[in-house]
Amino acid sequence: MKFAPSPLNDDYGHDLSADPVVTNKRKEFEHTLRIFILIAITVFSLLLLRVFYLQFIAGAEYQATSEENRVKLLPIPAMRGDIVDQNGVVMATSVPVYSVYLTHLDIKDKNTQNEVIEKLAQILGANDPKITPDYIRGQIKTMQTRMYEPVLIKTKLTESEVALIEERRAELPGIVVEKGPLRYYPPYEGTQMAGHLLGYVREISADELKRNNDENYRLGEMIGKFGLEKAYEKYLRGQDGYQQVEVNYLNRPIQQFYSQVPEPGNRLVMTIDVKVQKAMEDAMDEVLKRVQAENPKAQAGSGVLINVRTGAILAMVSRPGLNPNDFIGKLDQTTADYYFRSSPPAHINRAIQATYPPGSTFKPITAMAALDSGRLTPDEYMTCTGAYWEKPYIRCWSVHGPVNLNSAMAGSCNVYMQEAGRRAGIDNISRVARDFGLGQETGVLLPGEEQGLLPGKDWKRAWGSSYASNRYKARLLELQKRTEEQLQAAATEEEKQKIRKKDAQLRRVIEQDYNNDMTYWPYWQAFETYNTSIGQGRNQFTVLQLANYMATLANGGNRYQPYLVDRIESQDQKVIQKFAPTLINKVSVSPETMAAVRRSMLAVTEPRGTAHFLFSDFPFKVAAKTGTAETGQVGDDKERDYQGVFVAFAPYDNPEVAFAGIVEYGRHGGTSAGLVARSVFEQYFGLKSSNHASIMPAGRVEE
Amino acid sequence: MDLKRIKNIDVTLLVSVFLLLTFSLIILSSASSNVGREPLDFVRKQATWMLIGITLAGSFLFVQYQTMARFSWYIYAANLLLLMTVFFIGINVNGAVRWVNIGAFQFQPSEFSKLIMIVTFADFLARRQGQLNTLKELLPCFAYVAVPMLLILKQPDLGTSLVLIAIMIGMMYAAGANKRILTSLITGGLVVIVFSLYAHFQWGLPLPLQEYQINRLIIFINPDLDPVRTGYHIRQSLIAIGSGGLFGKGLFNGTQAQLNFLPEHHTDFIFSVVGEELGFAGVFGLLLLFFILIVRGLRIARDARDIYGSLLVIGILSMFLFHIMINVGMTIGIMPVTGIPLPFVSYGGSAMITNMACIGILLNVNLRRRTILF
Repeated sequence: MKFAPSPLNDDYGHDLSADPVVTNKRKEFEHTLRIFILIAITVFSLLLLRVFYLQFIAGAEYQATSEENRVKLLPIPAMRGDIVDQNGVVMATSVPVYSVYLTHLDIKDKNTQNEVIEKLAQILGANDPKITPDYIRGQIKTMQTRMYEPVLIKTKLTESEVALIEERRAELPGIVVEKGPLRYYPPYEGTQMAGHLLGYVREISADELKRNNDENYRLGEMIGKFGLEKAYEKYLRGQDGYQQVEVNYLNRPIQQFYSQVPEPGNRLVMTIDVKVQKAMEDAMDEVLKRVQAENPKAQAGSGVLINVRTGAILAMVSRPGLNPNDFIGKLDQTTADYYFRSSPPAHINRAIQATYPPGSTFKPITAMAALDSGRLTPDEYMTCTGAYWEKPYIRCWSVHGPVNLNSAMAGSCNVYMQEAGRRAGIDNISRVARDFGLGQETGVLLPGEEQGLLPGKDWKRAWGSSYASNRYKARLLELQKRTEEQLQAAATEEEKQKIRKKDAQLRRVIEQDYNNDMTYWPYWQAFETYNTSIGQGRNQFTVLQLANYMATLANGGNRYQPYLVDRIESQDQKVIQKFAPTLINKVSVSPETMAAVRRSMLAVTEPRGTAHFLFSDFPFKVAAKTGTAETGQVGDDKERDYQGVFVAFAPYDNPEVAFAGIVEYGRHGGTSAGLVARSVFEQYFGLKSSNHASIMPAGRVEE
Repeated sequence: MDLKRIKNIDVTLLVSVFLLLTFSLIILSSASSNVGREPLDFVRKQATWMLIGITLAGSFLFVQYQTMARFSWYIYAANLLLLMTVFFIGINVNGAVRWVNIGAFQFQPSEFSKLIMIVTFADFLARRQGQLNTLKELLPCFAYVAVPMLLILKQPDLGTSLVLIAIMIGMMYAAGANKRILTSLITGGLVVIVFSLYAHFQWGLPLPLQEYQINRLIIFINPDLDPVRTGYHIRQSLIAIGSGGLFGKGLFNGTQAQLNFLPEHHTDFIFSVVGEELGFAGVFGLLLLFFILIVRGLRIARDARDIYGSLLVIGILSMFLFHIMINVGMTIGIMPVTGIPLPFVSYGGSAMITNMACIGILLNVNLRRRTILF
């Protein structure tokens, strides 16, 4: 290694000022220094410019991100609004349940956390062996990226569990027991009420979350899925509150700063009268049980009671029943099968989501159409010989002899009504039925309402043409297939020639048949009018449509939109929205015609009427019509498998309420749905004696 | 020391250094408040380093800086020994051995080696005045720097190695080395680096670097490439500075730092805390102090009595400027993440003592400047 002698004096190196020889060198050095300054200026300017860009041009975005980084919102669920009957009896409510959570706010280290977990598992595991320390750790782990949120360990704590945890509060830092709302549908005097009508809530699905993007639903939030809960979701839901928590980079909460109190949902005051509803629920169960003794197929039914002056629905029942409480939490296999896969599936609200042939309950429509056309008078007599005199000679269920409007209605004579229908013509029948809302959605605010079908010439044209052309296409296809097969099997050209010739021939036949079909199928046939006149054939209506048709007839021709909610109130009982009756249309039938038909329906409950036995002990008169409709189901016994249909309004003199009901496989309307009507009227008009032994009145007459 | 020379002292420089130290203690009190065992733990330690540094710098003034040149080769050899100690008694921190224990303290030989490099290389260059024109004449200079640099690279400490290169280039440039050769070497070097990085990612060219080092070198171009580590640091740093605005969120109120979103916020990323808590005003003030330091330093270099003094100063200033550029650039996402601290401000004893020693040398050259005749 070389060691240079290092001078100690100030002349070491090149003393630039003292050496004139290197002035050039010095100039060069100063030039270099200027470059250094330039470089420094450039570096500092660049840094400063970049900071300026970050802080002022992109600043807003970074500020937002910095807020997002540290502030997390914890939702405080709002109490869902109650659903009450017209007198304030609670039918759907939210009850507080206790849930235990672990928060990271008070657990500082791993050891404490482990201790707490062990102790908590000890307390909760006593009742629920599922809860082990590992289970709790698992729960904590699933929430690892959201440590600012409390981890739910168990919900629906028993009182003793709550007490145990509270007692050992000091040993359980970070464990909180919190009250949260759980939807509950209380039974009324032992009967689970109006399940289909109320509907239920469940956790929001991913699909709904996407669809209701604007409504700010949270993952896991409850949403109305059926019935009124769904239809009035936005009123019932309320507004969640929030708690703002400051978190650190691990998402551990550091402090809470701000909270917004949740706004509870609104209260729905229904038009339903809980007492009448209960009468209908109980009567329906009892009737089904009775009918089942004769025909085990009888499992389903439905009934509606409606205020004829407003369209307000007072009771609505569907069987098999639906208990909304079943839908809270996880649905087990048997329950799910009962609601969705059994026969008949229980989930359907049969008052609005199922359609039925009306049977004889359609006859008042036929009568009104005939009377209003001027081709029939109430007093004209016809003679029932047990079958109609026009082809296809549809039979009457009895031989009534000479009948006028009242006796024909009372005895439900098919011959009279077919003749009335013939005279009126299908166009008039369709018009009147449409006026009364049959075959159209009633507009009731419940999800999933069915429209049904009111057949007429237009419908027949559409249906018949497509029927004929479908048949034509199917036959052509079959022919083509057969010809191809034969051609393949054919050995000689001669044979093939023959097959082709045959094909052309058959093609012509099919073509001709199609032309014939098109002159027949798209056209309304006379017998279809006869079928329709007595409520058979293609007619399919909902029970609610039938009830509203009765209400319209009872009030003199004003068709209202049936409704279920009288008003919406805020939590402090202030009315937010009041629903008034909505008139949809006035019927085109004359008041005299309606009066005559109402009178004929009164005859149904008079001696010799098919429903005389039902209301003979009532202190007022009831107008009604019984019906027995073919089920149209394959495999049903033509002798006994009929739907029992019943419609009525009361009191006859000054109608208040109208009823429609059906009991599937009830056979006779009067002895099935009619009994439900009787019970409901008894309750509504306060006739019901307290120790009512049997639903069946004395002196029953067969239809 | 000739007491008359005291009047020569550059007061502006002195004041800006003291302001920088004050600034450091203030911002550190906030930035380290959630790091140490006690809120002021790190401030107290930093202040201790400062006092040691000031004492060291003050005592430097009594010795002629030229004295150091006599021991150049001894110092150079000691430096190499010191750098080698880490491989024997070093402490492994995050996969790198940079630290050596001395009693209760740890120190980083590579920090001191930068200053030692300046002191020895200045002598090396001063002796070759006017003989730095051909590549053949330049090669010994490169070799002189390369030996300690490779030792540092082996720790591995890529950042400090780069600082050595920056110091070397700055000093050789000032020493009048052939500018064309130097410039083409720098350009060539940069091209090679960029190309080999590109080749590494495109065709898997093996590089003598750890994967994390390579990532850190390029991550600033797109922080989303590595959102959990280096990319995360850069993102959080950008959020911290970007959310600062004109006057910042206020001392102790920067959520990015105080809630630990921003890692290393009392050491390498302390500039982000300045940006977040003191805003553009704080950033501007800090950079202004640094700028004054550089400009006054260049004045001292100009007025130095001899080329050795000039080169000492240039070396120190090159180091400071490079540190500032890389450190601040890293926090604002325009430079690679290399773990180079911000002079005087970042927490760290070795760096603080080294930097204060640098100031001592600057003032030494300043005091013994040539007599100005005009």
